[in-house]
Amino acid sequence: MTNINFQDLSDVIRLISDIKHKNILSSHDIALKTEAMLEALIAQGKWTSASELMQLIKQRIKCISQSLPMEATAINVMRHILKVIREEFEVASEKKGESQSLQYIVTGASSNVLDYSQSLSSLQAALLDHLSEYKTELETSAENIAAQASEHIHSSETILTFGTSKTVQRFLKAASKKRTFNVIVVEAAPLYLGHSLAANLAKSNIQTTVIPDSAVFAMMSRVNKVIIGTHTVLASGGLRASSGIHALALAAKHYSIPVMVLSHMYKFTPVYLGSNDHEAFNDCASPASLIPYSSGQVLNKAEVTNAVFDFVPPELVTLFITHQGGNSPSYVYRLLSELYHPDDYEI
Amino acid sequence: MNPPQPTPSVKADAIQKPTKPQREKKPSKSKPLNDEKMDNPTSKASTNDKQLTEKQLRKLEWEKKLSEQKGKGDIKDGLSLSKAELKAKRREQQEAQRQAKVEKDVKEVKDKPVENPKSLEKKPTRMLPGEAKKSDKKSTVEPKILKSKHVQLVQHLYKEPNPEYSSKLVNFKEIHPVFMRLGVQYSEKVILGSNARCLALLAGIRTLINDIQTPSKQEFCRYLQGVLQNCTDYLQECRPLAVSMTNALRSFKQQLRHIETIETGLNDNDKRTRLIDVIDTYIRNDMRRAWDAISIKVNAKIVDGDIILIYGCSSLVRQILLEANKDGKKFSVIIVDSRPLLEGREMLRRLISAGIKCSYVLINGLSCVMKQASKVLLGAHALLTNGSVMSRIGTAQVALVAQAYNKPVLVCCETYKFSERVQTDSFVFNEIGDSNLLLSADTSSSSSPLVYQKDNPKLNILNLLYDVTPPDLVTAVVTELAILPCTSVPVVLRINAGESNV
Amino acid sequence: MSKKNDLLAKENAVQAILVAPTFEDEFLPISNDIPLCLFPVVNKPLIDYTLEFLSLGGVEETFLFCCNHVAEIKDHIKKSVEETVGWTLTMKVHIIVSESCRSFGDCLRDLDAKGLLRGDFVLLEPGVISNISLSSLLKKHSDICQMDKGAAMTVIFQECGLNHRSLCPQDETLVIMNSKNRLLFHKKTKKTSDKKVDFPLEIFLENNSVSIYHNLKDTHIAICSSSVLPLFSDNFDFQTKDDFVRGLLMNEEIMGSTVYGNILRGSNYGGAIHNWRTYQSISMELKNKWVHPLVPPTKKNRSIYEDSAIGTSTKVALTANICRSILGCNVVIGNNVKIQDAFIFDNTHIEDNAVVSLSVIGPNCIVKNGAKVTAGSILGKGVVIEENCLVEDSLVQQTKSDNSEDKIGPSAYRLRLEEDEEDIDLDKSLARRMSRLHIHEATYESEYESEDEFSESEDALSHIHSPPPDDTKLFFTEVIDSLTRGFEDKLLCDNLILEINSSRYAYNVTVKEVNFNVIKAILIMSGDLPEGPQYFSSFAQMLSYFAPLFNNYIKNLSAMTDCLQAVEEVAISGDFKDKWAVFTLKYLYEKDYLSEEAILDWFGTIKTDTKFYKQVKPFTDWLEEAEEEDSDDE
Repeated sequence: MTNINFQDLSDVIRLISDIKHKNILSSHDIALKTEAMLEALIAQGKWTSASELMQLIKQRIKCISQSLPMEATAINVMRHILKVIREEFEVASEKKGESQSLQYIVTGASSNVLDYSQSLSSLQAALLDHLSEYKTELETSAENIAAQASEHIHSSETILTFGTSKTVQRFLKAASKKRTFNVIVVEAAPLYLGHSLAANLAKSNIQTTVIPDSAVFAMMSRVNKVIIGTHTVLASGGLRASSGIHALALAAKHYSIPVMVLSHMYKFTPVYLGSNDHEAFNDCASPASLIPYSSGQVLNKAEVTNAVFDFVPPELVTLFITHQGGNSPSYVYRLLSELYHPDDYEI
Repeated sequence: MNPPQPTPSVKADAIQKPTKPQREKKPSKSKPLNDEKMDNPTSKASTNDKQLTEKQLRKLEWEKKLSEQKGKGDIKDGLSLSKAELKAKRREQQEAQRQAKVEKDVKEVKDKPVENPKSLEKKPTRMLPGEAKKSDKKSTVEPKILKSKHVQLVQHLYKEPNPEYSSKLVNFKEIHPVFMRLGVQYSEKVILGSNARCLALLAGIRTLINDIQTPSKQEFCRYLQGVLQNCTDYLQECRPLAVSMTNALRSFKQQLRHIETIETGLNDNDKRTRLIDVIDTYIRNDMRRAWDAISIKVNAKIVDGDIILIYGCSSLVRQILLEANKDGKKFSVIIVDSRPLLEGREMLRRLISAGIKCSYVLINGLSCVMKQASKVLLGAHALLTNGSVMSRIGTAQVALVAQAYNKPVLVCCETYKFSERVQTDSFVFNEIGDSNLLLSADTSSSSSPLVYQKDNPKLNILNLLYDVTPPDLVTAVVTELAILPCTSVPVVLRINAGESNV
Repeated sequence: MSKKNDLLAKENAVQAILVAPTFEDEFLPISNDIPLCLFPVVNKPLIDYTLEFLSLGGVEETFLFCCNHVAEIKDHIKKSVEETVGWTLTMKVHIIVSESCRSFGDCLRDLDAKGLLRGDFVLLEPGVISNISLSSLLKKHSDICQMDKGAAMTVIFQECGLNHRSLCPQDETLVIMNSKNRLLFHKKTKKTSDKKVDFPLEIFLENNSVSIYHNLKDTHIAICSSSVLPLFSDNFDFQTKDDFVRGLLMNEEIMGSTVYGNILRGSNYGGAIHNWRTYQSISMELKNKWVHPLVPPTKKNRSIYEDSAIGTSTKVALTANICRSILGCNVVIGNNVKIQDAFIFDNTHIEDNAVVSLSVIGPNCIVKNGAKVTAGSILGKGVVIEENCLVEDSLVQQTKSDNSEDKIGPSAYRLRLEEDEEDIDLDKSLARRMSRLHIHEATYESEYESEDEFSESEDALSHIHSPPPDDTKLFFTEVIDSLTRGFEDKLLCDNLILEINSSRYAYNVTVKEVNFNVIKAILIMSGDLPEGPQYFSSFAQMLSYFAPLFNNYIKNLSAMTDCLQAVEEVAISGDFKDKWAVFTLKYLYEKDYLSEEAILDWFGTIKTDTKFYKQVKPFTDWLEEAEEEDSDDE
């Protein structure tokens, strides 16, 4: 049994190794790859019932969460597909009406545990249909977010952003087609991702200013809006974002400047984490990017920490902008329940 | 004992490659080009004129392209050229290109409002109207200003190099060589930190007093005052004087006037010794004693098991920590550092060699380490009358995060750094550092993508030196007089002023 | 379909060779029971890190070469595959066993015979831990090969500040490269006692620009062309990678092969565990995330002990004090135990009040109540240290064996250290000294407080447990050697002087010590002269032979004092005839090497109750008399 499963897992293994070897970098690509993987899985049809399929997907989720604990996108996509399977199954087994009745709500699970092991012939086609829909949703998601740019960025505003994010870059470029504005990019040491964003923005003729991380507070008084990307959105509406964003959000709060977080739906994660130094929350990268290894002697005794993420509490975030529009952090719980089935929050 | 001395890496260039005379061709060609362009904006009288110049411009550009191609050919066959030369050449080309482009932009914007003033809002324009106007204005007044890229927000902070100094930089008669050296050291940031700069200034004045020879029929003090004024003007040009320096200068001048007006009976040498005495007293009382006093006061607040978070490399904070360590207190230090100066590394080295347990983070990791800290100790560049603390850029952010985690923030500041100025944000007065420093990092092996975009007029790199921490983020200021709230600055100033008047 | 794909992928798969055993006895006695590659490094076997590094670097096929403990290693790999540990997903590991191999070079020759490697490959020496992205280095190497057909190897160095704890003195390398990164000169500076480096002049004559680096550490990783293995087969004297590099550099023209170098900067890390010192430094660095993304297994709750890591289900008493140490799994630490700079492997018990510092304690050991294990001790598997026993600077194993020296408990036998008095193999003892656990400077802060002279304090530290071979002593033996040789071969004394002077500079010996040692050497040689009535005449003969030496070295009063001290020391230490001292002094006095004044001054410093005093007394009496006579004459 285990042997067969291992064979089956080769697709997810390829995905993991691609992510690990940095063949796919952006979360958007990861989402697309994951979707493609699931599509292939469903199309191959090595499953007979919904429950088996769900089992297969859950296995993959476990596999990823084991070898890439910080990876959320792939898991979220699969989690969403789990919900899709449940829904499609309900539709296919024509039990949908029942599930919405008051009876269902009051009595809960007992009377309504769907028997997912039932095999339904129509399920595969329906799922594939749904998946291709989801794929287009993924593909257009960035576009949809960017389309809202002109609602948020106005003429001669000063926008501050941090590090780099494909979504933010697209958003700003979309806005630049209609408006002229200034962008201040925080360089985000020690990875200096802000540099590449600034270079790209300047190439597309947006007035860009690069500042070091230390100048965030000083510049904030002249900023109209803060627009950032994030690594994940947590269930509380807080963020797991690159380190430095917490200080930035605090500065924005100090000057009462709105902080907008651009996020795709697959970044919403049904996990509650609430602190910076939690082992499961943060990751420490090599200190070599803070202080060169060749510094010698000093390194024998100094402890150098290079945390990758910051936790940003929900009260510091003004707005999430997804492809469906803007939402406040307090609404994230609802978005989550739309995205995932509550049974799949913990796998 | 050790074998060969550890030479990190020695490069030996055995043979200097010969330069081809061809090289010189390019710059000489672009020179007249520049000149013509500089003339161009000033001749804005009529549209006719403009068109003419536009034609001229195009022609020039074409010429430039030609020469560029030639240049490329040169590069191909001139493999033997050294890198530096190539770089210089490229820079020259880019300079010329950029100038041409800015010129064009200015023209475009200038033309557009005339044709269709409303189109600015609707049509996507390449430049901000504000910026355009500004550069427009500037270009008419001083075409040279276009050469360096300025961030609009802090336009007022850029200073034009004083032609008087830049031309005579090498041999400037009225300035004592000590001050010439100081000027370079300040502007190159060899002497950094307001205490160090102030000490260096005072040492410079002392040498000046010793070396000065009064011309006949001139009163010593008055003559000295004149010379000193020249020197400080020069220093101001190299880098704006720190508050500590202006305060020290003011106090010195006051004494100078005192000696000049009241003690008229003294001869030059006596005056010399008196003035040197004045300087020594200032260093001893207002600086060193203040440091000791502050150090004692803060030490009383450090207890065993403390984790003290510090930012950058304040000399005063360092003294405090070293002293506390000498007293046998068991504490550890978190050093927060930031680009591009990375002064914290020096702090780290010194504290480690003193045997203090240290950890080191960059300012982006601040939120992660703030939770562990029990106190935040900060140095200051100046304390302003409205209670704001002016300090190394990033200090405000540290104070802000500390407040978010409810950690006490102590700012250590001698009263001689108190200033009568008021400032509510970091832009009223600030200094701008070299933006190129941000382009490279010693920790990454690849070069920044910004390097290729460096000459893009749309891209600015801003490297501010100071920021202003609002008083509500600071728990207390430790001065040699007392531990005070920030808002007591005017009181201290009043007392000090009263004292010095008496 | 998929199989075909697999095959295709295999065709151009990146290959790596990992040689597991060290072929040295650095890790005795623990290496008797655990092979190096299964040593726990921050609670994970070393080989897991190495394999993960290879798989992250894009290697798809690894040949793991084993010579001993084969079964254990095979089991481990099998277990990893079963548990689908990270690297197993993208990489295949072939275990190659050859118990006859005696060196690194033998392994490669064996592999060459098997013909398993197709193109460029990655070569790892034992114990490598790194996070380099190999693919870019492989690319660079193949680019180099395009330009230079003879390029055999790219050696990877890491930039590393001097006095960094991970820069093991043995890894300190002096490298010269030309502008194309071709290696021109390569020398491990501290591996030998040689303190000078000679650069061949051609290096500077033949190249327009060269870079000399001394701030590098060897990562023990190399990218090799397919020509490397045949080269090893052709040259049976290549035992290690260093031999290979040296050999190729020396005979570049003959072999037609070149070596290139690559220097890592930024967050790239590379290093290998090949002795306890590197074991310590790499463990600490791994713990501090320098090798990110390779990280040790983390425990959920943060360790409250200073700079330490603790394995799963380990119990530590509240009153125990642990710092800068790494504890394995299932370790039990009793009350009031002090553990400093130590490594404790799995299933060990440290009972109450025990002290462990600067030591490695193997698996399944018991350190009983109040025992002390300190100063570079290594306990093998299953050792039991009895109550209140002190173990200092020794290797202890569980069972008795041929070279075990003495018994400290029913299951604790001390191993004899390699460095016996008889054969002072200088290089070896130096190496051993430098391979010990590195002392954390903090411990010695009070003794060596110098802010700026890092190197000095560093040096002083490493001298702590075995004193350095005394330079003067070495000088002395060298002088004796050249003198005996000179005397036997009747060489010209001027040549001897030259020889002595050059060794004087090599060992950096002061003038005083030179004088003293030369005289001492001459006098000691007199002990080898045939006994009997002819003794003194042959002695005088010998002394006259060395007359130029005396003339050269005894030139002033202070030199005379040195000479006299030498006489005194030799006379006291050697078993000479009673008259020997008097004879010598008289001879030297008569030949005017020594002045009366000096002798009398010196005589005043000798303790009156010694035998030597009595021996010399008559002579000085005679001198004094003579002096009186002289003055009388006046």
